[in-house]
Amino acid sequence: MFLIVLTSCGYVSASVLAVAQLYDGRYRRWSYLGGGAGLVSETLWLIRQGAFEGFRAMMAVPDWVGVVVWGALMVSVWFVRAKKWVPMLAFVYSTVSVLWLLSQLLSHRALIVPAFISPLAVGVWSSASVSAVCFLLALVFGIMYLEKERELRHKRARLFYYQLPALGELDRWAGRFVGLGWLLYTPVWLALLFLTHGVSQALWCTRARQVGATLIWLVYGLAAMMRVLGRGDGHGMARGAMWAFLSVLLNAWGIDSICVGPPHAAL
Amino acid sequence: MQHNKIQVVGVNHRQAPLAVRERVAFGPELLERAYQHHPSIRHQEGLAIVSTCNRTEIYVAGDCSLADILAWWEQTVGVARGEFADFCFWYQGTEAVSHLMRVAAGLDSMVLGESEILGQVKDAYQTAQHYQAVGALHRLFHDALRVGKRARSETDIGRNALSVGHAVVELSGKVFGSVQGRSALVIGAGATAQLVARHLAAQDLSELLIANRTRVRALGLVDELGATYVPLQDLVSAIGRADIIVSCTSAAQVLITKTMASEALRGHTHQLRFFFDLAVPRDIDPEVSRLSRNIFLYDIDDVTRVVDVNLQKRQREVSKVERIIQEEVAQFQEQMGASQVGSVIRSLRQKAETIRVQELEKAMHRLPNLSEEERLVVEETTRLILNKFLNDAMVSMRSWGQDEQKRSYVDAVRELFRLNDLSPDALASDKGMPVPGR
Repeated sequence: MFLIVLTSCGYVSASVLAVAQLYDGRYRRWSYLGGGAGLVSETLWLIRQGAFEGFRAMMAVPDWVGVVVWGALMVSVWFVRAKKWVPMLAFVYSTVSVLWLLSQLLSHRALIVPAFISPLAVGVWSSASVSAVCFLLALVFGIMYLEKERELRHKRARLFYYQLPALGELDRWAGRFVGLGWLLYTPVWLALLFLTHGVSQALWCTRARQVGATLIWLVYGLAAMMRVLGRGDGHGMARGAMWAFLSVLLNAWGIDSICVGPPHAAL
Repeated sequence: MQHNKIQVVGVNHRQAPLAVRERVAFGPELLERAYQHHPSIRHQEGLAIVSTCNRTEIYVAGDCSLADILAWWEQTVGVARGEFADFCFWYQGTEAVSHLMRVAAGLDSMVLGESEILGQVKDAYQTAQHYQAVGALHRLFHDALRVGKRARSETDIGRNALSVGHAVVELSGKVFGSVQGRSALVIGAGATAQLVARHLAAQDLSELLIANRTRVRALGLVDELGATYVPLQDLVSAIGRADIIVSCTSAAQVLITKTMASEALRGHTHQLRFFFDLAVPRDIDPEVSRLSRNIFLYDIDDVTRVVDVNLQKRQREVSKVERIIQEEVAQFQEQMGASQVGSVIRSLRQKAETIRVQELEKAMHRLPNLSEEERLVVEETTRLILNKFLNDAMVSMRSWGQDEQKRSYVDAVRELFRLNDLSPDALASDKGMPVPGR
């Protein structure tokens, strides 16, 4: 509990300070400290979960979201170090804080029924986690794109005009993360069909989890295809990344809330 | 050399009108003459001239009078001092040091924080070195150049465009990332068009198109920049090819209508494009920006507004640069104090050593029967007495370099032991250096 509270405090303070440092660079060091504290305590929490409760613990939504949030932060740290995109942290920490708090406050069910844990399930879980990291980062780049575009369109050289990367750059990264996420999600979706077949002897069933997974795969697949075919623009990609992430959230929490019954009912 | 013996006399864009500045400026030929005649300024120990279109500043080290410097200046440029002396500024000591640092940092420039001045200060220093005139100003220029570099790397004083041409490139960069590899179309061949085209051409574009009503007027610019000429009749296809479109003609009517742009961009509306309408009256129909959300259209007021905000941002950086200057001035004073003490210590030790050697020789003449061993003992004893006697004085003097209040003591020691009378030969031989003039 202590580590969860510390992580929450770290992320929330980091998001507030990272936004403040957009206005005044003196807060940068404090936002690093807050974020660092959150990241360290979350790492310890994940290690503790792994050590004491095993891989089964990671199948529950709070732990899984914890892994996704942690992965997204690590990739963001790379961006800050390699590309010097420090203002990006304001967007990453804010998004991550909301996700983390939601995952800790809402009631959850397991993503994968413990009875089905197998090497395949572990692979599915890993691939789903990395694809979710990609989708989360695509969301962050999409939000940054829309904010920067808003300032440029309204011809106001303010915060984001000076601090955020160019529109073209943001669009490229949003597109890359959507494409990569979709590629990694495709085996997850296929595996889900396989698992469904194991339960109901049919490849397709109208169970909520499968419908949700298909929705995610279709939405991101559409966005990725548009980019591959040279259609669609940065604005569309940014908005698409935001709406598509709703399907990920819906699959993680919404379905659990809507579909009441034994855990495997959601599958 | 004391830092309070550094002075600067000059005219700049703040005090002097262009008519005065251009008459007293040092062009390349005058510069050569000025440096050749600089020894005519009495008591000077170093001289450097910073001469640009906005300033002519003469930095002098040594006990020179202002009248001597002005006399040399009027003689060199051939303008009576009465015609420019009223527009001159004159700073001495710390103020002169701080002034050069402000100049190098771009705080004294017409365009706040511009980077060209740093190169000009460096050129001035190298020219002074070339004519062996820099003398005691070496450290000052060295430090000022460091301040210039620090100001630009540690603050945002040199960032964000302050001219329309530069702003076009900067704004395009905010959309495309790097402008490198993009294609641009400049419509018009007037002064603004030329300025913008030159800025764009410097960005390593994949293609630069220049469209103009009359081919002859555009050809000069096309040849200079290696661009491609486009007749106005082919404007539609040129717009379709370009990522950045800049229009600055004096046409009385709209040049790029919504229909024309729609035709040009058909099938490519998902690509980002930046239109700049720098003409008055406007060349581009404002409705063009509604064709697609990927089209950005800025008119001259929009670009000027961005430039104004950029200027405000640079102005906010001034205090940070001032802090760097304060820090460097303090360091310069400290170094100058230490080097001043160092030269007095060397002179004192050298004088004492000369006396010891002379007196030892006299004593040896009076004691001819001493064996070689006894001679060595006597010589060693005199050396030890001298070292022990001077040791405390040396330690105290070294500490004066760090103490501003005690720096005047160094002059007292120099005066007391008449260290100014020492010949350069004696000093040079003591340091193992070649003697100047030999």
